[in-house]
Amino acid sequence: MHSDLEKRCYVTAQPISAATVETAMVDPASGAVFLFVGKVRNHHAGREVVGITYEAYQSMAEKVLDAIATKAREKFAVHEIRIVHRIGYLKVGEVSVCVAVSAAHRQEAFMAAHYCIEELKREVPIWKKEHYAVGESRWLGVPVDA
Amino acid sequence: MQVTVRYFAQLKERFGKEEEKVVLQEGATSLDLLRNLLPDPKEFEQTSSYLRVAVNESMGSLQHPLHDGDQVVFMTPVAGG
Repeated sequence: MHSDLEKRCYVTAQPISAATVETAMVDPASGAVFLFVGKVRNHHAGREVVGITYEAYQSMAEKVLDAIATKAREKFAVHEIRIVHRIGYLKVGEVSVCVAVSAAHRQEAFMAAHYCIEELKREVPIWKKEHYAVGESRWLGVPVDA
Repeated sequence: MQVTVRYFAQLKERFGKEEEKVVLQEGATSLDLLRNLLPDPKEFEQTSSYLRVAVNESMGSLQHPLHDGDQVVFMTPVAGG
């Protein structure tokens, strides 16, 4: 078994349990844990979505996730940051990403989590292919006419 | 020199493989490599306009020279989350 719980930021093909991620953050000095859970939604740009396939350049993705968490800890007064991203085929409602941040106070935890998820979407080499109810599929981010 | 190109997502489907070894002239850049992989000028122009490149798991420049043994990943816009 992948020692996922040893790593704070990782990519996994296994279903993500946000509760497990949160429970791993044990720090009596933390008065706040902010937990962001991203899920597969049933629509995008007016189209009905039935699932999403996530693919990652895993070794680099985990390095970039670590770098984002390190940067966030420098910018905000937070204690611990965990970021977990799922890969593979996910149905509507499944958890694609979980960001958990602990801090002494809530405001810093909110801001750090926001920073992490925005940076993740911009920088981490993970791609998603949406599968539509009509039977088509499309990789997001690639220009439509390409 | 020889480099390894790994493909993900859209590009994996485009090339129909996960990786390949490519022999290049000394001093060749990632852009030279891409031109080699996409001989059709129209496809090259279009694709190179939105790709980024990672060399040995770090973001690089398409204009930067490659080295023997480099692992190169051309990346379409990322879309995690």
